[in-house]
This record gives sequence, structure tokens and C-alpha cells, in this order.
Amino acid sequence: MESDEPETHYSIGEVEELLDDISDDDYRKMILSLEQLNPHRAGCTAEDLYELALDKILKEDRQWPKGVKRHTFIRNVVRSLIWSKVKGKKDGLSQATAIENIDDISDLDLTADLRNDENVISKAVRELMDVFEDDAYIRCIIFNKLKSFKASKIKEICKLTENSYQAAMKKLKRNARQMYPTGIDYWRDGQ
Amino acid sequence: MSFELLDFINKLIAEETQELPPKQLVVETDSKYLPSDERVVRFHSITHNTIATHRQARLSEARAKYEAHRQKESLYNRAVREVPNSVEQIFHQIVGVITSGGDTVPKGWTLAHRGEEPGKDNDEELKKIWMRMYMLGFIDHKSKGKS
Repeated sequence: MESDEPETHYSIGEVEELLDDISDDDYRKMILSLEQLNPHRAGCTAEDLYELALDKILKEDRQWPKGVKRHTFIRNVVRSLIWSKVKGKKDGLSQATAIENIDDISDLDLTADLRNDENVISKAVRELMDVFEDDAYIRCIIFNKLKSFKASKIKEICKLTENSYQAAMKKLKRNARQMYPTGIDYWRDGQ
Repeated sequence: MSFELLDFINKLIAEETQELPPKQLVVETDSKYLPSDERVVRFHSITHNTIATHRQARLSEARAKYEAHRQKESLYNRAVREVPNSVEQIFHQIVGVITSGGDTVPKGWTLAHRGEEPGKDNDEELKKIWMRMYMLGFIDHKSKGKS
């Protein structure tokens, strides 16, 4: 008996159609988006991970829920691939360390699960502060984010209404993306 | 140094990228950061090659399944067509196989059917045995069967 339930995932034929129809600009957007995930921390290029992701999708190891945009879905598959590769390296590292055999960890990227270079981070913060030199609200938001304050506290300190906070965020978002289209080269575990 | 700020900024960058339509994103991105045409072509090729490989694998699998099914089906259908009309003939051919071949028929076959009584159920059972023998090649596909 056939079910009356609507299909929640794309069939393999529909998936192929969706993948076969990617324009050059779509690819540019996707590549930038994949670079933002810092694929090199998994020891891979965006190309390697994209191919692996397609393989998983076409084998139906990862089903594509209807309603999820192509770009978002592929990005999520790649993100989980990076996560599992980094985790695999970490597990390999702890195993190798446990048996105290340094030869076994020689081919592992020991920085894979570490925070990135402090110089990169402070340079990025300085650049952001410089760009928003004339915008007191955005500088106030950045400054208080540096102190790890939550949005409600920042609004209170910077004397921002919900609307003006949203407007400042929109501007910050737009400028930050234009300054760092592939994101700031920094990551930490669980991202 | 607070890492929350950079988590926060990277999250904003990802959100903005997600939200912008591809054309607008390309227009609003400094060309020095945009992926090169060669890179875009490489991604195109990855997509097309991966789809083609998977299509080919699926096609081969479907062909193999169909072929196995067709072979099984056609043998069964031939057996149905060839089964003799009379029970006597069926019985005669089965006995022929059992008594002629020496070690070509497993001993279990003769032992299992030595005490059977005639009747509708047993006739059907004989037909089934005949068909199994035919499908297994004990009954010659060309010279035996319906006359």
C-alpha cells in the first residue's frame, strides 16, 4: 500500500537535477562558503571535501530534506565531514599518545584541534576597529563582544534600542563579509 | 583575548553569505577574493564526474539485477510451458531421471518420494518436482517435456 505521507526528502533523481543545475555564481558563493569552514584544518581542500560530500549525498548516506537550500545542505554536509575528520585526527592523536609512540603521530596535523595564531586574531580585531572608526555603536558592540558580553547586556551598555542594535548588526555583517569573504582564518573545536 | 568576538564575526560572515543571492554576492565581493574561473570549472567537473560515476554504478547494478531476474524468470516460464500434460508422463520422466543417472540424482530425492500415494495433492507435488528437476537441468530442456 502506498503511503499518503508527503515525501520529506528529495529522491536521487531530484538530487541529481538540483546538482546538475549550479551556475557559475552559485559555485562562487559555495566555494566562499566552504572556505569559511577552514577546510585545511581537516587536512583537505574545499574541492576534496566537496567531492566527498557529493559522494555521500549521491549514495544517499546523507538525505537531502526538502525545503533545505542546496547551498545550505552542501555546506552542512561538508561541515560534518570536517568535524569527523578533525575528531578522527584527535582520537588518533590521543591513541598514539597513550601508547607513547611518537612515530604514530608524525603525520597528524597537531594544530587541527587548537586555536589559531593569536597574531591573526589580534590583526583581525584591529582591522575591524579601524573600519568602524567613525561608528561609535559598532565599536561599542565589538568592544563588549571582546569582553564576551551577551546581546542584552551590550544593548544596555551601548544604549541601543532593539532597532538600532539590529541596524548596527546589519552594517557590521555586511562590512565584515566584504573585508573577509572567506571568514577570519581562525577556528576552534566544536565550530 | 576573547575568542567569542571572532566566533561572532565569523558567524555573521557566514550568515551574510547564506542570505545574499549569488549574483549580488559576486558583485559585492572584491574580485581579488572571488574564486577564479579555473576553480569554478574544477567544481563543475567534480559535480559532473561524480554524478556520472554514480549513474553508471546504479545502471550497472540495475542491469545485473534485471539480468538475474530475467534468467530466473525465463527458466521458470520454460518449465511451466514444458511440463507434460499427463501425470503418467511426469512420473515416467522423473523415474527415468532417477533410474538412469546413477549418481546424477541425490539419494535424498528417491528416498523422499518412494512411498507417495496417487491423488490431486501428490499430482501437484509431482509437477513441482518435475519443474524443479527441469530448472536444475536433470530433465533435458530440448528432448523432454511436452510432446
